Amino acid sequence: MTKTCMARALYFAYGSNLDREQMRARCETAELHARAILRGHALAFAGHSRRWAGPVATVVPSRNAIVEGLLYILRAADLRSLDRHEGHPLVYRRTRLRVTDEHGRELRAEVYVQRARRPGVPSPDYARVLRRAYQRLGFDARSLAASAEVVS
Amino acid sequence: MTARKPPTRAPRAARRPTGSSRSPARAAASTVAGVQPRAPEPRTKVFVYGTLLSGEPNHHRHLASARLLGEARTPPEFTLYHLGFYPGLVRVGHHAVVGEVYEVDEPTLAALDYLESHPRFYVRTAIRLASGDEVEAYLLTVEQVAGRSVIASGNWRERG
Repeated sequence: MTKTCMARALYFAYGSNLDREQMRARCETAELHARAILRGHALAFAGHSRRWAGPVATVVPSRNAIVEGLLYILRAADLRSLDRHEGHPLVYRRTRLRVTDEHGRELRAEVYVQRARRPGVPSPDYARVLRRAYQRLGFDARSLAASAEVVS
Repeated sequence: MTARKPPTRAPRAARRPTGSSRSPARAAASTVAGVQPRAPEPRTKVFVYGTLLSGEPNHHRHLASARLLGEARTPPEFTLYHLGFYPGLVRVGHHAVVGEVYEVDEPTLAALDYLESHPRFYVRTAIRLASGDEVEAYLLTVEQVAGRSVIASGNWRERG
């Protein structure tokens, strides 16, 4: 991939990266493009985060399910910063998936998927951050509940 | 050493008589025995105005090997909208929109159609440029850009 091509990348944020403060801290120059959905996947919680003291969000293939998120336009430095925070490629693996933005356009975006698959119950702090972000964005909070039920 | 089996099928090139072709046009174009002139592959002129412009993020992947015919602009009958990561061109308004025209082969055109989600999102449509050339361009409808900001310069690179 050339430098020109990597000058800007689209990143599909879900989980705690829906939190504005966290996203701003990790990617100073990130620019919000639109809301988006990742089809054929469901939100789940897996692995273990020391910061959040428990499992954290991931996406897993699931027919007829969607994950709501935000699309950010990232510069190369932002993407490198995110790679560090997400532990790519050991903890999360960055991959490109097709998402649909709020305008109805399908786009390929960078998505971090956890390598760990064993489901777990997120900590109350982590669940609170996600619930708050879902409320602020008007996302369907039932998907959070469904994820929690799946893993509890 | 093992004995070589006789070939059960003739080599691919020998199966078809010289000069024949699935396409009548190609057969008619054959003038010299044993020489199969290649019919010109269909090429399409495409006007791009956003992320496919040279230096923009989708250019390298899709148009790096396409032939640039030059910079171009639409007649002042269009509007360029800012949709965040990419723009949308609408055939309503009074702006001349700036872009580039590329000549692309069929696989490239198919890849562009896929990229632009034609016809589910953008619709590839024949438009006439200010120069009078007729080209293909990916357009949105007025409904799709409702409430979005206009790029008054008509130039995605000068979107601010």
